[in-house]
Amino acid sequence: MRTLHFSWVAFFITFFVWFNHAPLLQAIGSSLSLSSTQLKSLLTINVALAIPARVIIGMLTDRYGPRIVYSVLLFTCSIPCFMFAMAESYEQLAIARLLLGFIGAGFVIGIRLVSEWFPANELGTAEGIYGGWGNFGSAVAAFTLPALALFSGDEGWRVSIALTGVISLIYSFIFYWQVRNTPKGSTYFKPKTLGALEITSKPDFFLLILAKIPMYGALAILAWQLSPAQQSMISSGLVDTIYLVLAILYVFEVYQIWRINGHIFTKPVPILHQYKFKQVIVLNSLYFATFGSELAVISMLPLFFAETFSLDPVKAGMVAAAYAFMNLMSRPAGGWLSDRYGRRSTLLILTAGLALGYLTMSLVNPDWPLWLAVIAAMACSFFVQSGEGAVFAVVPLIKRRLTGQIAGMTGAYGNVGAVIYLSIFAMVDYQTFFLTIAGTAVLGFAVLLFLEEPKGQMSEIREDGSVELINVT
Amino acid sequence: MTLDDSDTHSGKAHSTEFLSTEALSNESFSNEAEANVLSVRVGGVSLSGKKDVNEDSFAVHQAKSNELKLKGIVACIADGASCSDDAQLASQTSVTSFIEDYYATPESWGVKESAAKVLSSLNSWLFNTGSIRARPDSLVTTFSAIIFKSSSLHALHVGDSRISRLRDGQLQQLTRDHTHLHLGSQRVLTRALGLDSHLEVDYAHHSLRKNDLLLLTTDGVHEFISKSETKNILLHAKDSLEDTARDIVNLALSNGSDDNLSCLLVEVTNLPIVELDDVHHQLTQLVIPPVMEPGMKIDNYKIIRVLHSGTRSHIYQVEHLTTLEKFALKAPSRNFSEDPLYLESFHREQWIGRRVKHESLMKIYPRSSISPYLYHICEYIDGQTLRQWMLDNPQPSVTKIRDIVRSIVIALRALQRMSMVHRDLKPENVMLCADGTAKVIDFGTVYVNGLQETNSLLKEEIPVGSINYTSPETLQSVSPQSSSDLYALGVMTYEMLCGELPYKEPASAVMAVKTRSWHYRSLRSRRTDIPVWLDLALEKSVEPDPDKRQQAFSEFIQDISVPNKRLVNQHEAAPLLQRNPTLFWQCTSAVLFILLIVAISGGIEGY
Repeated sequence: MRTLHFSWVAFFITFFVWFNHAPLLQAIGSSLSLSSTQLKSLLTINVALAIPARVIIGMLTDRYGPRIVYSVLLFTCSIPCFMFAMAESYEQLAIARLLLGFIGAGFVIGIRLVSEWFPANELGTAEGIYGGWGNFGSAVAAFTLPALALFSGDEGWRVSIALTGVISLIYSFIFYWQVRNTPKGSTYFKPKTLGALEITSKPDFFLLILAKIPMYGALAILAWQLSPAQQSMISSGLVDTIYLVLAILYVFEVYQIWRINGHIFTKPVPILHQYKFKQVIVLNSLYFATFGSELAVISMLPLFFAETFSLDPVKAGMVAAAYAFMNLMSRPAGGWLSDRYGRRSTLLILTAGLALGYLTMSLVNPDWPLWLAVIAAMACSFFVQSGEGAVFAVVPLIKRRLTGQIAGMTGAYGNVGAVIYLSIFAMVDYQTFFLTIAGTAVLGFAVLLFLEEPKGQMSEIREDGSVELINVT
Repeated sequence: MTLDDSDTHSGKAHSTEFLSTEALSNESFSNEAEANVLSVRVGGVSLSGKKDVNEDSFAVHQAKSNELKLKGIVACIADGASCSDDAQLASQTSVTSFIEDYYATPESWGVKESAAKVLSSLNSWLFNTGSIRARPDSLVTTFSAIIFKSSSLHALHVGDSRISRLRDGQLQQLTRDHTHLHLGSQRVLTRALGLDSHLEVDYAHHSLRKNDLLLLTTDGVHEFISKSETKNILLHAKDSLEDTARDIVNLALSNGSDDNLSCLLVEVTNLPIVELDDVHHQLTQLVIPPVMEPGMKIDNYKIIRVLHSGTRSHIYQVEHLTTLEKFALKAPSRNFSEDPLYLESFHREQWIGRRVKHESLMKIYPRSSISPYLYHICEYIDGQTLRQWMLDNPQPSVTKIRDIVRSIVIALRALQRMSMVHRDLKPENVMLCADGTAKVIDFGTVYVNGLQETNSLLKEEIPVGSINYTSPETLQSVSPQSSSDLYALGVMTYEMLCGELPYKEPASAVMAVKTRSWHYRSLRSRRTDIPVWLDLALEKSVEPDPDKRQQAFSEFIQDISVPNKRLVNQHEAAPLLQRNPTLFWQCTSAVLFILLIVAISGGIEGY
């Protein structure tokens, strides 16, 4: 339990830092006189590096253990945080924000840590608490930082941002002192690797290679957006370099997939180890729509409320926090619902709700009463976050042995979603933005029809308390 | 009577069962027609030839089911040395008692170990019994045995009988005659059973292939028939192996053999080939029970309380519904529902738990054959784990620790006798009973020599056990020895005394295997009241090199009870750099610093 609390607080702080700029965007904009496009780009840049960072952090965690990696991450990410707080130009802001993307990869460390401490039957709840309460960090940021900034004058946003850095810095030490990688006496050699995913049939091999494209595609889209063709933030030479690097990385990744999975072309995988990769793709798409849209929306919502209802930053922040506030209960609720009512049907209902929710959000206009808009946001976020919980309730059932890797890939898709949604956000107005998300949710619903209900437990506990075997067909 | 064979069926010796020329039934003995079971067919002939008595003997034992899997099939041949009076008795006793005693060794022992133990006691018996009789070497015999186990052939040989193998049309002799030429012409046995109180037996291990034909002959046969002649007969073998053997013997006889003639043929008709999918299917037949709470019932047991709930297993205190007897129920964690290695080890734990009948080792009761669930019913131990005890007693007296260690050693010795290595000894796996004695639990990672030879398709690719208590040599995948358990015991003793570990804990599993510094941290730096000699004894027990550790548990007990003069002297004689590197470098730095100050001040003065 202790470890769980230390872990979710760590994750909480990563989110707190990662989204510390969102509610302060207006202040930053006016203090450094930035354009609206520039502000929107900052939001995208913020989530970009989290995609490759997950892979790196995953590898480091395999090698050095969660305790030291989480501490070092919290420690080092306070540096770009201070850089951001002291930035004098858009370029400086952008670079600091880009580096801060790293802190968005903290999630995977904690998932791994929690899995070492909880038995299988409590793991779902523990990871729900970890994820849900940790995500709440962005709500707290939206709630507190603008008010804090107000206290400290015109350049108050700098104080607020720097403060999050200080908290992260201090907590990195606390985490290191208080947390152990595994319970005493139970450090085993068995690797719980977060590395490349294993697949078990030839078609799946190609499917996996295809499924990796969006990870690089998202970054390429971001680079394109900053290129002379769009916003002219970076030179065309640099853009080409980025494309090239992404292409090389992709080829390298394909090689890695081949290295781990090449054997399936010569020797079939034992039946016990087989699974269907399409299940992973379905979950990835859903997480793209849920977590991706959540990250995008919590980034832009303060701005949205401020502009739509002409609110001051503090109030806009507080109202926007309503969205992330739901995290405390909706993510665990998603897991609970799918345990109780079947995974597939729960996901179907939640995804449908998600589409409707964003459709409603797209209808919000200044004529709405503010409270109605807030309720719409909260309802929408309930479906989004319950959906996330329900996705992660399915993840361990796809292939227990590969849970870590499947969770890793699913999480990465969440970040891809964020980059893509925010890239769209930078180009369109609010209504179109919400409509796009609603559209992808409908797509997600269609993909979901391909999900096969995972094999559930084979035994049941009867009302009189005796354990009985039930046949699963 | 021209013939005398011995033959055993089901382990019983019948030295006079076949008195006619039908030496051995040549029917295939494979009574298990299943495709994945090892089976052989046998045929043999033994004639006294020109001699009056037949001093040769051979015997075959075809084991079934479990015995076949764990002990295999034995065929052996012996030729009583003509110089001895009771040559016939010697050869007969050797083949029959070898078989009887071999199958009586513990199931956990490996082939080599079992055969060596049996042969050495057989040798002592022959030698001593012979000495009591009129002439010193009256009971002397050659001895050659082949043991088929899984898909391996183990050959044991002493003397001048021979084991040869026909494979792919090639006849290859697998043994070397233990003779030398005496006075130019006569061959004299240099090694044989009963010749000396000390015995050296040649042991070889070969892989088996289907249709391998093994040929065991005595010198009356192979001295009088050439290799190509033998090969010729074998290649044109008749359907009956016995007829083939008779052809060989008759040819030797017509070539002028003046000795007893014996020839035993064994052909591998089937090898145990198991499909990985079958193994997996078998392992996943039983269902992992859900996590249970007090009050729930499973089969005939009611859960009373949860003793442990972890990422690997769940342990409950349970009560039998009718007898009200208390047990501990251990169920695997669902995390491993698709992990064949873990499931296999769980099944193996049951197997081991039923075989280790010792007060200091937790008992595991046979599982109910109708239960669909995978769990063990274990003896309920009223006590606490050593970990808990360590938390409760942070500064224990050396005397108390010594008692506990002695008690653990009793358990480890019991395992050692069964040729088992625990491999996961740690404070969590030692229970301290109310009366203060220790019981070792958790046999999931126990290494069993005899099982290792059964050719499992599931290979351990990752070291088992817990990082802090696993010896370095086990990481290098050397087959485990009791010295690995001694290492773990050393670490535990150290930890009991001061609550810390002798080596720095690695950050992760990957780091533990790849880079780990084995720098012993002196126990006296944690507890100054510990005498140097005890610290030295513990340092020795956790040496990274297993050869530098105490070589027996008794030596370890001795070293932690009485100061080991040699260790202490060695320590005192060692230079400071070796004894206490930190202090050495501190002193060196201090001296250098003083010199520097002197130099600078000298320089200033000079200036």
